[in-house]
Amino acid sequence: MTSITFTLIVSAIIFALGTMGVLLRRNPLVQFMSIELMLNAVNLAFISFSGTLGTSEGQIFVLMVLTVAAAEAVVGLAIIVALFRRRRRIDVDDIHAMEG
Amino acid sequence: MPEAIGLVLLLPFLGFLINALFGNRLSKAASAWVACGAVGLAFVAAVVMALTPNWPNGAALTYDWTLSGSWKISFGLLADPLSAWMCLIITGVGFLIHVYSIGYMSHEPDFRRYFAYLNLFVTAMLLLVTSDNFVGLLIGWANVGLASFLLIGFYTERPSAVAAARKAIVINTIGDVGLILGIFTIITNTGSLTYREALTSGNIASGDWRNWAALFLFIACAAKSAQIPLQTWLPDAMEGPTPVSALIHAATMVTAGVYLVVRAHTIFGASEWAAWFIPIIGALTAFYAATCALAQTDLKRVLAYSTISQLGYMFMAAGVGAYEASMFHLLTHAFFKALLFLSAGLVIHALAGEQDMRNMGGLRREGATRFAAISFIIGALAISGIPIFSGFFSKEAILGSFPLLGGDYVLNASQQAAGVPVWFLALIGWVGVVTAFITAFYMFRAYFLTFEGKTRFEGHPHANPQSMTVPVGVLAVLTTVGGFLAFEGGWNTLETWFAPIKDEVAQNGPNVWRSIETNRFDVVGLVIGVGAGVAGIALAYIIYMARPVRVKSTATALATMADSPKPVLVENPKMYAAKATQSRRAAEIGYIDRERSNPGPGVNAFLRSGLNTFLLYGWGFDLLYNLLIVWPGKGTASLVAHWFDRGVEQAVDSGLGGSTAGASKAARRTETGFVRNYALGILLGAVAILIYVAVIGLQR
Amino acid sequence: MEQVILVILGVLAVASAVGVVFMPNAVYSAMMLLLNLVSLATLFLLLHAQFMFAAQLLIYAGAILVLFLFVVTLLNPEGENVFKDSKQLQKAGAFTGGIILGIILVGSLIYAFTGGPQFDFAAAQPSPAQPYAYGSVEAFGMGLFTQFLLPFELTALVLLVALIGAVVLGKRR
Repeated sequence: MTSITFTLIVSAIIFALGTMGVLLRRNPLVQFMSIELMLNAVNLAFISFSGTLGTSEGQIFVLMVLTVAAAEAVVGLAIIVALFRRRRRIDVDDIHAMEG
Repeated sequence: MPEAIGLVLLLPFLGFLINALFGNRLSKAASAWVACGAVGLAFVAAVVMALTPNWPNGAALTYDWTLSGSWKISFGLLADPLSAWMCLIITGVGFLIHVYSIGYMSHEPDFRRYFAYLNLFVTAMLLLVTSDNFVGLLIGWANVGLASFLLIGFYTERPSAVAAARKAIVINTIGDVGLILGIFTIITNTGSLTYREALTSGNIASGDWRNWAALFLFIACAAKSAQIPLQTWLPDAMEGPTPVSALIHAATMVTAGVYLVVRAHTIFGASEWAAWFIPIIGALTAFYAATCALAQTDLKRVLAYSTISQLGYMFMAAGVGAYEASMFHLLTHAFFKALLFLSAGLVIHALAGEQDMRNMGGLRREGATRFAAISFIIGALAISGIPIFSGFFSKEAILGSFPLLGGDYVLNASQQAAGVPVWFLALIGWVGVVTAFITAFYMFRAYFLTFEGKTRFEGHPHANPQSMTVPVGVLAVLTTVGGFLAFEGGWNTLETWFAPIKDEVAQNGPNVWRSIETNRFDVVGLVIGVGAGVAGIALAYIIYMARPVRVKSTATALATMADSPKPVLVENPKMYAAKATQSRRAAEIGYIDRERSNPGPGVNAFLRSGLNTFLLYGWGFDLLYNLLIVWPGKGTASLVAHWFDRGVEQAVDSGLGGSTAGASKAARRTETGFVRNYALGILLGAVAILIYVAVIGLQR
Repeated sequence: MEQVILVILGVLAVASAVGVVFMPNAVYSAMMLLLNLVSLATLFLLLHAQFMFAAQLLIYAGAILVLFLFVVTLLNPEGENVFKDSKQLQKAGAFTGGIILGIILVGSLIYAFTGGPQFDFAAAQPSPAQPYAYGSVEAFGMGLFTQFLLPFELTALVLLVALIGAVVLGKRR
């Protein structure tokens, strides 16, 4: 088993765990952390391929992902804070105004 | 300077835009200045263009509309003798009629709307004649129909005007469909829609498609130029203001069909069918409309039927390849028919809206209408073909294209191909002669009824403003001298003018062009032609002047009419008389309520009545179309509305609507509003796709 | 030796990811995320991506995670046990969906690297020799500021928008 195989499998497992986290947790903060997990899993896959192919494009993509993740965290956390300010409670299941 | 053609088209369009967009902020004078100035400058530009037409170098202005690789659609304006000829007529006569409108429409609150429509019409008509391809022609063709619709229905508060406008646009749309079908036929078989390529294509030499293309295009011509069997809209189109009738329904728009035949003459000339049906329809229409004009009591409707008849003449000529004679008559007709309409307009204006000749009479003796009498008689002499007046020359050119007395008549290529016998052409020519006789008769009948004899109107005619009389004067001069362009056997400036187009035909296709030059000078023919006109005038004089028949005014005539078709006709005629004196507008409404809101007598009345009613209602074409198309259509529509629609509505209501409501009620349950549920949905979908991909991958 | 470290780090990363998802307290989750990020960063280093190692530590572990911890401590959310979720359907769906997803991904990876025709990574190396060693800051910078200059500049715009968005959302009204 080469190192790329191993790291890709690790990345796949972390990605699956991240999805489960998003779906299972009711706390939006932890949901965000799970999304970060998924992003990091993808980063790991990028880096693995980049290293194996010997080109730096994969790394540059990771940098983009980092940027987007940072932006997403900033906006997401701001939304959560705004929600908390309004409801004094953070639970995604409290918010279901879209119910049909 | 052929590039001036762009200005010819642009100026009226600018006038239209200004009047349409900012009309409300303009004073009446400013609006009139804009509209007349635009058309006047366009006339100047057209003159500049006509001085150096650059045929056969093709489009003067070409704009690449759509580009896709090597394939492109170009839109061009064509400056050639034919389009220059039409541009001069449209802008020249159009300018005079615009000026005339200032006076005629001065009491009109919708003055600016009127001028906006008028400029729109001029723009569309110019596009029609200047486009260098069939698509531009179609755009112009449809838009002149629209402008005509808007102007016929200009008095929107008058139900009959709206009905007439609707009728006009429905019939014109039939023609538009024909034009589109013709264009499809042409592009399929020649691969191009520009005149240069399509009309000089090698495929014109053979094929059955030429017959179909000619037939489809002629449907368009018949609808636009009011030829049998699509002629019924033009008499009703007299609902529009009189200058509109002069400009659109006499001088320009209705001649678009003749223009198309001449423009696409390589197709018409190559078609064996067209060699038969165009002369037949032309002659039939000329005769039909002339007979109808005999019985009309409305001055404008006399002129309308006369227009149809003269258009029939033009088609007769175009059908035998006498395109020069056809275009010549188009020009002189534009002069004398516009003159006649505008003279009629002077009378109508002076009498505050009265159009019925039975309520006129003796107007020559009135100071206010003496000018109208002179101009009308000039127009009537011209249309009767009396020498030195313009109509004489063009009518002789047309009749000279037919072998009235047999003789050594040379058939052209398409007539030979179609096997048209000489006696057939002689017959057509004699129909033309008879029509000329009837034309002179009804035109002088109209003159005598209107201007001579006993005075039958109430009140006092008031004077017309100079803005109306000056254009009439100019047209009267043109009508008198406008014919000295060509004389058979004598001189022919038209041949030089149209030579480039003629040469184009000679190079590419069967030579069907019959120049006026080829008509020999024929004393017998001349005597027959002029004699018909003189005889008509003489007969009219005998009947209406020497031994005058008793003409009742409308009120008496209606009250005593035995077989009055509709009770509305006898309903209190005094009321209308009273209305007639109130205001011109109200009088027109009143007049219309009385006469035109009923489409004609019913079937029984029609059968019982005599020849007069038969002619008055145009041989019952309206009744026929009502029986065949309108009433069955309305009946079917109401049946469908009553039974089918109601059933379908219920079925849709309870079936489709119910099931939709139930389904959406069920579907609503899936929308929980919880974000996590939605996210789970995304996951499940992604997993399903992944499984599918994996299975596909394993199978490979 | 490297292989051993690699495996240890991988197991650590997976274990910490499990921790993020299932720890009842949000603070614990955040700490587990930190562990996960650090082990991933070390994995990057083992894969010769030195620059990304540094960036991962600085941006994720340094900036983003601190932000998370800050918000968590500010809001102090109550703990939750994912196994006692009242929404049975959601719970079952999430577990089965996640597990199937993992199985498919891992299974297809193993299948791809063991069975069937193998992709020749060595042949896929770009033919002209790279002027800079792989993973070095020079190589990374060359790629970033030549070929990917426009996307890089656009990320600046993304960050700016996020900044403005956060200010707007955080404003008291």
